[in-house]
Amino acid sequence: MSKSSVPDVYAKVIKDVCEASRVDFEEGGVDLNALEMLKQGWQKRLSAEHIATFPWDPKPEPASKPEPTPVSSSAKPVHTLPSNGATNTPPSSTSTPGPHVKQETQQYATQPPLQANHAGKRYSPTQPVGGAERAASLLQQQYGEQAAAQVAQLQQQNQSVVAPAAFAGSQRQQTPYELQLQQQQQRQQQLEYQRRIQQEYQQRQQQPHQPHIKQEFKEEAKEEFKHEDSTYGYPQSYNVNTIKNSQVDGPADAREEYEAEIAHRRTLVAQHRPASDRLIRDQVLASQQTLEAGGLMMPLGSHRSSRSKRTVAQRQAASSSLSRAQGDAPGDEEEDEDAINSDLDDPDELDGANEGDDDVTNVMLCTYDKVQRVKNKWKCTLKDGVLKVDGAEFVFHKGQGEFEW
Amino acid sequence: MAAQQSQYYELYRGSTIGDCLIDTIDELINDSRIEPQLAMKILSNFDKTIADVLAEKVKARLTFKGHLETYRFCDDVWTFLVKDVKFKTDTSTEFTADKVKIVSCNSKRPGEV
Repeated sequence: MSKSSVPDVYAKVIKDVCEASRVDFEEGGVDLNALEMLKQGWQKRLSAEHIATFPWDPKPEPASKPEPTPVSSSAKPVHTLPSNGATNTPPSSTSTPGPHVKQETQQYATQPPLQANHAGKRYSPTQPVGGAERAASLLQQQYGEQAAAQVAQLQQQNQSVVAPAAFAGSQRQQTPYELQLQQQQQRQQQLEYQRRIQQEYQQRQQQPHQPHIKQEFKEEAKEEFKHEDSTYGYPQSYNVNTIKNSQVDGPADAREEYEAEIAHRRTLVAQHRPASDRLIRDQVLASQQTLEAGGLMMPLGSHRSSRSKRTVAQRQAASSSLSRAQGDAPGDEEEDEDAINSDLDDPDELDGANEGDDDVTNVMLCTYDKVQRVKNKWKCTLKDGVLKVDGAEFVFHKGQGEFEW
Repeated sequence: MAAQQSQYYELYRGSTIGDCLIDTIDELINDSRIEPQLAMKILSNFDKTIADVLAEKVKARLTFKGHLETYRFCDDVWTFLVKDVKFKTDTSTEFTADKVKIVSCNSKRPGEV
């Protein structure tokens, strides 16, 4: 019976406290949203204790669910994308991105220079283009005009494999400068091509609704580019840079959002850590200790939490210095700490009893009307109690206790 | 009666509901949403409210028996450590606990501080 009234009582307490605090919030110029947060946080925590079923319980349940979104979202978009196939694993760069490449090349086949360039590159020798270029420029530097013919030959050999279409009509020998220009052009075309692929991906990325898909796409796209790089014989870093440069607009948003969300959650986690600053709790614990360990029952008006904090600090300082001065065996120190504390602040027997109290989780907080003792029989008349026993909570207006000592 | 006095015990801050409130307030302070001074006001509101509600709204009665292991009376606060406790509510619901700590303040506080 008393148990069933717990939710009502607690609901009323929360409501009344929030109402009473509203004035304080307004007087302090604090946003009333904070009060609402206080109320909801309080209710949520109380629900998490599983003491009873509270009137507000159905509400906060769904709100607490979307916590693990980062995990689930990575799995979701896989099914929504036809191009991703049925693979749940991250793209491995060899198998999955295949269809993308094919599509792109078909699409851009209508552009002759690009296609020629692209097709030529596919059959380029494994030696990097930069090497041939360097060889040519070295020859040019060392032998000047004399080596022009050889340089041209070298370049032509290279270029005829790289881009046969571009050289089909030209029989004349080209100067190294021209060749370099041409190579630059090719490189720009390459850049252009990659940029278009990038845009294509961006467009496709914008179609699905979930923002997380974008990221997957982007990663896949990167993988593809890397894959293509290796066939082209370009150093990978070169292409990575071009991708970054061309990625001016659009797709980074999803990532930023995602990262912002992650960062936000991390800060939240950090804040919720019990190790984080626990001002009020410490204060209350300190005052509780004073209450139970023989301190005065201080009214709110003369609340002196700083004093109790200071005594704790003093105790620790005193105990450490004392133990050092006494030269006790190191093994005794921990036990001594409390003993010394009690010497300083508390009666001995209280301290010993306190240690026994610490592991008690079943607590009754109440007021007493009368406490009587006849020999070893005790009778207590208690009032206005809150009792917590094995995770269950009870409230009572009147309580009668009988003990044998 | 505590409800009629101007000062209230901070005793109930150690209860589950008080604990939850303190945790929530701590969080709000960490988020810099409220000031510690306001937090103290909220807690004193809680002290008053829970005392009032327990006095006015709760009608349940509870009897219990057990083995008193430790008793202590200091500064008008009784603390009992009772073992093998048998509780009985006024609806004849019974439950037991191996060990219960009872912290009890005087219901009749002297008027002056």
